[in-house]
Amino acid sequence: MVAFAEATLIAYVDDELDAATVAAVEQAMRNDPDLARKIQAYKDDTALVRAAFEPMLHHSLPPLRMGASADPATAGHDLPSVRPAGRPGRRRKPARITGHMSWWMTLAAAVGGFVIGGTSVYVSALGTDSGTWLALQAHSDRLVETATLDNLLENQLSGTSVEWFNERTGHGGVITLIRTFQTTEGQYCREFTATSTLDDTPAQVRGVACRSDQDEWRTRRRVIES
Amino acid sequence: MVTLRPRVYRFAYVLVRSPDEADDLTQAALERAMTRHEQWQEGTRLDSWLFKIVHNLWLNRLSAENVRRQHRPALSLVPTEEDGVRNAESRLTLALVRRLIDKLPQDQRMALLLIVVEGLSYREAADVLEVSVGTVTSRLARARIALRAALDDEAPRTAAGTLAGGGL
Repeated sequence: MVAFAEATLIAYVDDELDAATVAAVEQAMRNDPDLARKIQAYKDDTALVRAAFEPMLHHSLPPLRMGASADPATAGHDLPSVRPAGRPGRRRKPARITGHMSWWMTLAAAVGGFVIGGTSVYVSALGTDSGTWLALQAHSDRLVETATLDNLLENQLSGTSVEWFNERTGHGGVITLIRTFQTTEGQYCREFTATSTLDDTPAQVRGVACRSDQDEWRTRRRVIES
Repeated sequence: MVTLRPRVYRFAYVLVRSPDEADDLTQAALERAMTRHEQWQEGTRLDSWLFKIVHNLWLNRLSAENVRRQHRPALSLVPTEEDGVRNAESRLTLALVRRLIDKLPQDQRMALLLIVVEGLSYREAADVLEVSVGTVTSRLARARIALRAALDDEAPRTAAGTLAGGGL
């Protein structure tokens, strides 16, 4: 029996081997259940690590400061001087909710053809279909929907609809922004509707999201038809 | 609409582990990308080009600052949504994975992020990090082996919790 270096097994999982080595690894896997299990474990790790990094994509970001610094290479760490006034550190300006071009529109306009296609959100590919993985997949639909909603709330004008689709689960939906208003406390809130097949249940949902001081969208939603 | 900005930010965050510094790096990198878009080679991945810009900016800052980054807080990759108990067990698992990744040396963490999470090839990751393919390969292997060993260690404990949780 051929013994493979650990790095070779890992390269197999990462799809980095040439065809001959792939064939050799797969041949060995058929004869060696331990090896097959080991490789499966690395594949599961891929799914786990992707899922673990997923929430970081939903961090809300302040508006892009266009032309705020000269050449970043040299101006580099002078950048903090262009931060919004106030306590340095975590503080961020409220989102520009209406009327402005969002950063990616600016980017697209500036460079042309820059925006990466489609309407579906970046979906974490979750791994095997057993046990906790099912739980993770269900979670993943929520993550995708939430990411779509957050992006919409943060960057789009009322009236905009966005579709999302999770290739992994085959679930998807449409979210539409209805209107934007400000509460008497000055908090920005946005009303939206969502239709989705989240967790296998088609539902029509109406919701309100308000932007917290921590720059998060706190969402309340009510199912109006399922 | 898909945007690359969250992924650029994530790359910066995993690199520097400070939300504000990551934000600055992201802003600077996107500005630079826009002013130098002609340097992007068509047919290559736009994401890895942006990662490379972030990485370069960071290297420049490091030399400018003369390295004062001993006390970095641990990654606080707390999920932002709240959807109840149902996902509690997967949360726990993911929190564990994040803790384990956080213990990896930065070199290995970056290789893991680029290849496993972002799906770059070894070649592309080597290009972003400006090291050889062999170096990236061994960093990634060490990261994956360490992670697997740590998860094996944890397995008896978390398996019990997962089964008891049984949300589905």
